[in-house]
Amino acid sequence: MKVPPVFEYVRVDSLNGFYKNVNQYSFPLIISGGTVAVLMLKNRVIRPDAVIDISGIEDLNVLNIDKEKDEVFMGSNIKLYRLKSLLPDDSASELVIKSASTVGDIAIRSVGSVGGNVCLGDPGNDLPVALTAIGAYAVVGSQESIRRVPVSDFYVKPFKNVLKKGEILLGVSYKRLYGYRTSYKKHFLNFLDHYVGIVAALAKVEGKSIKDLRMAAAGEAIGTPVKIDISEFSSVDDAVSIKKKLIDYLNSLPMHDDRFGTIKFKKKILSALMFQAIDEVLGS
Amino acid sequence: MKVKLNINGKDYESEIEPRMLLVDFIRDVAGLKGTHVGCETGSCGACMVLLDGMPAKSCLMLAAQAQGKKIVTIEGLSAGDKLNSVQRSLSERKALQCGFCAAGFSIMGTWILENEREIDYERVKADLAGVVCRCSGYEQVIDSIVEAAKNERKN
Repeated sequence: MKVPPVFEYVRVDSLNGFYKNVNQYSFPLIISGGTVAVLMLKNRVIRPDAVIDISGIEDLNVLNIDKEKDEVFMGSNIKLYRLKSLLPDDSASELVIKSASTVGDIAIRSVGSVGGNVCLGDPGNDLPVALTAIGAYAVVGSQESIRRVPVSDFYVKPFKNVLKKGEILLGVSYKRLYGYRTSYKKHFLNFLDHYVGIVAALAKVEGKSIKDLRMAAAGEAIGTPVKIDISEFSSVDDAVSIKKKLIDYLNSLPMHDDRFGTIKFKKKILSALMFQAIDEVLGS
Repeated sequence: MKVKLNINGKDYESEIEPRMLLVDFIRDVAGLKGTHVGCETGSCGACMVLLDGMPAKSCLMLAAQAQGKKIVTIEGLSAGDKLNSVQRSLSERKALQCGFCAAGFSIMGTWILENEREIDYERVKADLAGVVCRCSGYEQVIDSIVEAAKNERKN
């Protein structure tokens, strides 16, 4: 039987309560759903002196649509399972829903939260890839201020984000996008229980002309999400050139042989996922 | 710390360590042994319960997190000796062998019947992704839940 280490449990119901409590501990662990966090506690990968449960903060359990800016704000406490019914009808939200619906199973999605999936920094997490592709921002709060960090810059390395002590991820915001085709692909290694590669893509195509093309990738092959710049191509007939550029891009990424596979294997998986996504969003 | 959890409509109050898992509270404090400890990693679903009506893996939750929520375990699905339609269907089709996964399939099956609009083989198969059986296979389980759904809709 796996038992977590000893810690203090603090449940807060407001942001003020969070800010008041968080600085009282040297290594607090913040949880909302806590599925992965509890697993890490059981495996004693982390040994916090306090677990701060923020699931009772209703201000973080909101989804706002700013009509003036045409932006969506998803609060950290929103359960992944609810995104499908909560998010509005647009291409960016469609990609977010596609990624969220592939997290674990229903019992995980009904407990797991937006904040947990974004904050953890596991290369195999789903939301960060989609959020990077659509150019979303992490909205970070502290007692003094609120700052916005592009999700693509939110991670320092796997399992390490830019949040400082005393800060909390309030949620994620993104601009709504319209008329895009979206694609979300990933490759799972059953025996290691990890994703080697994840790719999120979206494109706006009018006739044969590519108006906008965005892509992000993550997974154990490359770590936390990276935004891939492929905006210069103008025609769907360029699909072959785009794929060539993606191969060049993959060759430039630092990769190494490890338990998830050889460099050759990782590149093969990622390129396959990228090509599938490109074909899907360009309709080529 | 003191917690009060509502399980199958009954309150259980106890002094616990904050690190106690929900599955351990259900089994050791409430004495409800139908919820099992399986893989302990959230993969097998043997510890499945309904938490405010949604499926949840009780080995991946602290008992303290479940305060104020309504928990239903496999024991809470039946009314005394009267099994609910999913349990009855699983039993009649002899879908389970050792029964270790019974909580997972019964809870998920009940949730599917109550929440999915269109229930067919593919829908049930997809929804059961988080429950693992290592003896009978899944065909009879899926068929049982589809059949239970058909029977419910007939009535």
